[in-house]
Amino acid sequence: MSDFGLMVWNSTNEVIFDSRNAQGGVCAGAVEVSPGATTTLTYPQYAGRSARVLQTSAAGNLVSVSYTSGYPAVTLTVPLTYVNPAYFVIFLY
Amino acid sequence: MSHGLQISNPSGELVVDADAMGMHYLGQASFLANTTPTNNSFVRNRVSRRYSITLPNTSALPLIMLKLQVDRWLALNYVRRSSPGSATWYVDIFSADSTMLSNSLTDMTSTASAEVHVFSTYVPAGASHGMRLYNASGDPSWDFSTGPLFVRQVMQFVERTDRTAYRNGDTIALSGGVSNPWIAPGRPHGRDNVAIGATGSHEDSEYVFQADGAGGVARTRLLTYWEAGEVGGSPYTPQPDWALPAQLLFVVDGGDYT
Repeated sequence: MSDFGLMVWNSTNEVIFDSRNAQGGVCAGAVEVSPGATTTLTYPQYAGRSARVLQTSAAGNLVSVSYTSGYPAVTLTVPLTYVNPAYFVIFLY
Repeated sequence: MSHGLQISNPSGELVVDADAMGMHYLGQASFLANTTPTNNSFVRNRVSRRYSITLPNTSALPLIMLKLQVDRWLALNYVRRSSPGSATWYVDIFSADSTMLSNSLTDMTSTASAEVHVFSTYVPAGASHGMRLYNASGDPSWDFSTGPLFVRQVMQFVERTDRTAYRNGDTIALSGGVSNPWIAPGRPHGRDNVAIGATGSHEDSEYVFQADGAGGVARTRLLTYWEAGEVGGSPYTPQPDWALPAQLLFVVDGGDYT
């Protein structure tokens, strides 16, 4: 456990944020992708970081993450056969 | 490149970044109605629960969390705007108790109550004290006085290909201190979102989560025609392999927000 970090208490003295115990990364955005569409999002300002994508609707492997340029590049592909747009939330860490 | 503030956790993962989009707790989504999915001759028809939430503006984006409980099996069907450009979003979930689950070989026409909690990228006005971060454009990105997203645990359910060993699913222990887990489940089943017979409509069929009552998050798969060996018409090709897919879950402690 690090001795450094940011802790936040609410008005009743409960800890509501503690950077030492926080995980997941920071949200870099969220996107809806329509059936038949492919969206690529790049994060050059986050060179050396990694990406996690919460694919929160639609099944299947619709997410690929590439680091070949030295920064995260997230490609989201929704097959034309899907009925509704799929929704993704992207976190970088 | 300029950064207002970045904070990493002891593992070196970024957890605060003024130039990212801070997420903040908004409240519960309202239950609208049970919604009947498009039927499919190969998989049992199952009703889902539709919730709605109106975000403060059309550019705000939601992150959906489901409150885990014992004997309440949950999955996220999909998240989408009620209509293009609308600030109102629909959240369709699957929610069943063990009685319903044990009857999963029949069409499910009822659902069990659930709590759907919503975080969003909207930055609230905030209190008169505390810390507020602004991004390089001068727009507020985080406000620590108003329920900032505090992810306690990232769970990575791995792919399970051993149908026998994982017939009843698998479990991941909650990290210490999380007493009221809410989860944001990734890569859920999404049958309702897929045209009948389309790729993806079956291999991810239906994966549901509950609190296991022993400090863990349990995942299982609903039964389908295929597993029961029933004949639902001409076999769909390719047949699903019955793997449990890899699934990413974020966990927060509901006690931080309510």
